Amino acid sequence: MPDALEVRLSALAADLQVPVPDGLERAVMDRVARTRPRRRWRRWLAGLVVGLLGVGVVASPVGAEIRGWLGLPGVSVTSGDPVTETPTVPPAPGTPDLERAERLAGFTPVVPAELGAPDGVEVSADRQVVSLSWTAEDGTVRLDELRGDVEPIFWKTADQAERVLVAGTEALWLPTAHRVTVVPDGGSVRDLPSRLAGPTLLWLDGDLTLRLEGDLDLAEATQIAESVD
Amino acid sequence: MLEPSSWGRGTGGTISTDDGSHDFVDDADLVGRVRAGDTDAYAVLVRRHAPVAMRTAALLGAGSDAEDVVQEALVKAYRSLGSFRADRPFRPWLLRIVANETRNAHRSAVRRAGREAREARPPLTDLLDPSAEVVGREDRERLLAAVGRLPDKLSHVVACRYLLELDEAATAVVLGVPRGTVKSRLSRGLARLRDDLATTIEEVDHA
Repeated sequence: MPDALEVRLSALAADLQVPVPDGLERAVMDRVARTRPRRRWRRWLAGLVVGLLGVGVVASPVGAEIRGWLGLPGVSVTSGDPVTETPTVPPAPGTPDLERAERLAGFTPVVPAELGAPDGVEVSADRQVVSLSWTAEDGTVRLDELRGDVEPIFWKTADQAERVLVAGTEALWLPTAHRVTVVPDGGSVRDLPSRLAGPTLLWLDGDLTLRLEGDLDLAEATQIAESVD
Repeated sequence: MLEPSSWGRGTGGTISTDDGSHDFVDDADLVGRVRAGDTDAYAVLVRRHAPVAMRTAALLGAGSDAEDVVQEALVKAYRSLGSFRADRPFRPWLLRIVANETRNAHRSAVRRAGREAREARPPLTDLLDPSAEVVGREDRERLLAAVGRLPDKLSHVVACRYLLELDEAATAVVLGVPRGTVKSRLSRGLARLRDDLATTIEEVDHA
């Protein structure tokens, strides 16, 4: 049974007024008209996976295009061979000092409540990426965070990529082991060794691009991602 | 005001401003049409849900960013329609995107402008309809101000349940928390509201 307070709160709903701005519908529909429909992208990606098999890591404009369309700044995904080896997720080697990381990187790293305080925190030499890691008996989970106003830092070559939603926001799920290359400021993707990465979820949180990697399935990864607050 | 009939799944087609051809078409059918390439059907969804989307953004703290937040959320929802499960209600799914965009906008603002941005959020009492009945207005302002004073997590649940008139399941979807969490936050929120209101009334009595 609702009590007096609940009745008063419900009645309040009728007294609120939040007008819909005049131009809203038009603005949305204008942007929608320019948006590439999802179906086309899928077919196009499927074609790419076949077309690029065996090519390996390439700094191709294709990656840039997917990146632009997905709206995941700082990350580029190209398609490539399926990988059969088992990846090991590297822990972040630094002491878990989040305040120091914040000072160095210039932004506040987010910590998923689901994972709690990290065991390791590392800031990249160019101060653009903050990495947190949690290591347990069954392996390491790693979260890389970077601000969206940088050029691609992560080049990923994957045989599978799936668009998913994290807390209602578009995200990219790479369910299989894949190659990832981290490109420092001014570096070229061709000069760098790539490492084998485990299943990875990529998503945006405000102006941060987040990359969660570990021996996780999509449900677990999403649960961790959605506990970022 | 939103019509109660537009809340439930599959009953959202009764708002008279819809185009004739889309009248009485439910959300799931409209989503199907959009997926099949009928972009105009999306305009109907936008028109139908924009009022509650604006209200959600405002109540969850978007302040002056509410319009941008809702525009962004509606565009993202369109792009994500492919992953929307048609057997679920559309509105909570959309409002979850709105809630998430609101949180993102707020966090970016805090990052840009520092902590003052948090303080700069307009009070919820700004949302009261100025043309509403004068009788009991003070009372309503006091109640709304008390909701605004709750910690965000509690005030968001109270706002979803009572001011957006969502049920517990929809609230859980919109805020991205388990149903048990909705229940416990709701009872904590109501308890704090009672305490807060009791104190304010006492202060008024003493004055």
